[in-house]
Amino acid sequence: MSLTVVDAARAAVTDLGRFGQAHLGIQANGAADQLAARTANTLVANEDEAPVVEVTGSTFTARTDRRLLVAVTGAVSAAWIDGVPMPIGAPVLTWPGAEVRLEAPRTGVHSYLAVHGELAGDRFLGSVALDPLVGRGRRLSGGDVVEIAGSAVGEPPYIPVFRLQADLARPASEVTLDVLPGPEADQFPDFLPALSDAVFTVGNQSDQVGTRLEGHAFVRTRTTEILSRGVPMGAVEVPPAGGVIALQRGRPMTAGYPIPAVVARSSHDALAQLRPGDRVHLRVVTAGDSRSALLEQERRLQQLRARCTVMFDACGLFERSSTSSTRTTLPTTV
Amino acid sequence: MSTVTAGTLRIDEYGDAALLIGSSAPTREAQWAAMQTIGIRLRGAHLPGIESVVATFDSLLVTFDPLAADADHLTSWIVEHGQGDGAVLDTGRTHRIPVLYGGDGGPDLEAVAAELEITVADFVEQHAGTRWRVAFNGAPGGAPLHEGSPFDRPIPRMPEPRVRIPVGTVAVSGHQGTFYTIPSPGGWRCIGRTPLRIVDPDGDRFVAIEPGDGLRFHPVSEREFTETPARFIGEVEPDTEPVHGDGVLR
Repeated sequence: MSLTVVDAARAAVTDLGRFGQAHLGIQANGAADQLAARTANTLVANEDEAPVVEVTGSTFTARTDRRLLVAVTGAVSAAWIDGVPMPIGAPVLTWPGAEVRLEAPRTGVHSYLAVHGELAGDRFLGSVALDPLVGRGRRLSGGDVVEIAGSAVGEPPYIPVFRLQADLARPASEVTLDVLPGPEADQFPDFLPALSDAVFTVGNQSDQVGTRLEGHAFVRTRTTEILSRGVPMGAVEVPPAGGVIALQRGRPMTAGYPIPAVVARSSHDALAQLRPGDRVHLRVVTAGDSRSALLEQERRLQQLRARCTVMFDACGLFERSSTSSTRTTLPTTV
Repeated sequence: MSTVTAGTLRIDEYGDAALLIGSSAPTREAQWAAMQTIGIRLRGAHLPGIESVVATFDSLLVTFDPLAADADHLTSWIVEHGQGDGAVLDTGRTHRIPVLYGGDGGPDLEAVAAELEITVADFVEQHAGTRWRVAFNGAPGGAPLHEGSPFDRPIPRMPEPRVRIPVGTVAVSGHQGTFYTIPSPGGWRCIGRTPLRIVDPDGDRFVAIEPGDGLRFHPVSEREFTETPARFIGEVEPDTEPVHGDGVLR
């Protein structure tokens, strides 16, 4: 089984990231919109961590050689199979030789194509995620053949009368990101109070390293040097010039700028989908608020996985269902 | 942001998915050793939900999946397991690094010597005459940052970073040294180049120089540089030196 790339401008094979290697100076990287990637995998009965195609701000077309179970999620504005509209956020069976096309996003940046099975990537330290610094990972361009390991999809004995649709928020051009105080919050007394009225605009120099939030500048009340230290995804740093940069998955391992706030985990996917010109509000929340939002995301994803399992079994898509997730199950105390 | 202090440790919640740990130990060296020790213990414990552990000079960042790990539980674990015994962190291993000082690979050598008010020959003698100690593997690309500068003052950074520094470049800044292990921009002062490969992006080991390792540089001629095979440093057996307390961190 394979996908043959027909047309790709900025696409790569990725997964959720290369975790546990930070002490070697290796950043996690991985899918910018983690929930969109996990949802795509859920819709094709893969494990969350399976490789997917990440398409960044552009179109992508690939030809399938067999009947394949595919799903498209994320910022993609429209998708087609041989010119027939394809639902976004739903599992779809292709036919041999079919061309799957993802249109460029109109809002947001990153789209995902998942295929049942394991897409062949460049596996390094346990992950196929692109690491542009170290030069590992697999970028895709026209003519590339991506092999798919795993079992073929059976022919369903009947056409199901139901449709599976992921309940997934699409990227917007005006978003509210939840933030929590950072280690230097007290050195920027104006920062957190200003957020209730502030509207930021995403700057043109934003990339996979950091998103520039323009329109407001902040002054630090101290000048003590901060030695290089680890910085988490979503750290909102304020360099001496006063601008605001929210760090992304491709950030350097360490940095030395003061950090008055950090974007909550529940808003990381929305942060990663921002594009220049988008309007951003920052809302101060508690860790408990963020956790509740994450639990809700997780509950919906597990519900979707359960629905997929039932329906794939019911229509005989696989010999035997193997759709259990390796992700930790929800705490029972919720 | 809630803060817990225990002995010389300070543990801050950092958003909803990370903790930042600091040390108030009396010396820089003790702070660094404490952070590295906790980092090693944390990685060794394989606690569920931990995504990354980054121990640097005086801090340690641990990031986690907030649905798979709990900040309070993790804080308690660090308080319980993070108390240092004050021991100096030194592996006793010493990597010998051949360096072609100056020339195209070390365009800042003369300027740095001038800023230190010593001759180029003195700079090379002192840089190569010291056992540097690796503080941590940092950015970019697992670069082993090393400390123990023999120079009497800090070395200033470039006013403007260079856009692209070649692989194998040996650089200094402040009281520290580093390598450019992958082609990248950077603001450290480039004083030479090693023919050895410091990281191996095509292997499964990636980095073979670790925190607490020693480094000894030795000057080579252009001919020796060219004739030295570009081996990964992990394929070269390090020397074993008795641990001594000369690498005072500044």
